[in-house]
Amino acid sequence: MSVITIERKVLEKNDDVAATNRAQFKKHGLFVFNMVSSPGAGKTSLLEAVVTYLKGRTSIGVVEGDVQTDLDAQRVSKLGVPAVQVITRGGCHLEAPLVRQAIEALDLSKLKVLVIENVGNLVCPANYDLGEELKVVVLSTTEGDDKPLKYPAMFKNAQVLVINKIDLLPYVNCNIERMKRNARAINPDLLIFETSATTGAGVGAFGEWVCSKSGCVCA
Amino acid sequence: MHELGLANGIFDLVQQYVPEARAPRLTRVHVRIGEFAGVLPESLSFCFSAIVQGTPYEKATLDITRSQGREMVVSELELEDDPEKGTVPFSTGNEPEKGTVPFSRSRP
Repeated sequence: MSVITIERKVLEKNDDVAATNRAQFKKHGLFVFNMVSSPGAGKTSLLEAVVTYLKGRTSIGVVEGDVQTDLDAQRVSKLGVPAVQVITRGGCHLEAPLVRQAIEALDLSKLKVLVIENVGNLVCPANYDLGEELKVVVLSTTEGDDKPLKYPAMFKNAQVLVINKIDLLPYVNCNIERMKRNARAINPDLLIFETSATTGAGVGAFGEWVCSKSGCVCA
Repeated sequence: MHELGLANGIFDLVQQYVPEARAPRLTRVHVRIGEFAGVLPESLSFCFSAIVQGTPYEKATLDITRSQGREMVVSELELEDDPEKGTVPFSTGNEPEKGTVPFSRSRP
């Protein structure tokens, strides 16, 4: 029997393209984050709220990932933001080459922030580097405060947690302090925001953070 | 379902190192999958077996070792000896462009 030692990363192809994406983002001085959550946590609604909050202060572009339809890109485009829809046709996550194709349709030199809204899924997107600076995981209060313990990889790999739908706290069985404790048990360094895309509560704080990361002048 | 995409990535690497002519001798593909990689080993093995089915590589199975962290690495490829030549130094004639230079060693 002969054994060949190769020691190669399974996702090497993806990571190579992600590195190319990252170099291009750096060239344009772009702040890029990868927004991940389970389906229905409110990523697009939060994005709409942040875009509206930051209107005129920074220039945001969006890559939307969904299994089907361009509904999300349509929603964001209505706010005057350049948006590209990636339709994965069954794929449960975005991969770096898909993002590479999508950004060809955007004029990156005119942007300060690029938001990549991933396919709603708390498992698979954790493994795929897209070239972003960091991952923002959105978790809604309706999902239960134990979710970080059930899906640890995503919370481990993210740098920021946005707890959304805080307006629903009186109606759901979710202890937000326990949710934060559970998230920090997985990742003690998480920066945490609490928002409601519906009422606008907390959107300003998250918006200011996005703004500061993109180097724009704060209010 | 991303295990199918990962299995495809493993198969791509296998093909880089083992040309089709030697494929029927490939018996095992050793991979290390981190506990935090979010990968179900049984599903990855199933997807890999589905991909190699009907190809010259169909005798190959995955041998998965769980490791720390998030790593997903193809570590070793195991080939049966050539019945005529015995254990021979490995040379694919199809060397990968980068990464660790492969080497061959014999096992009893």
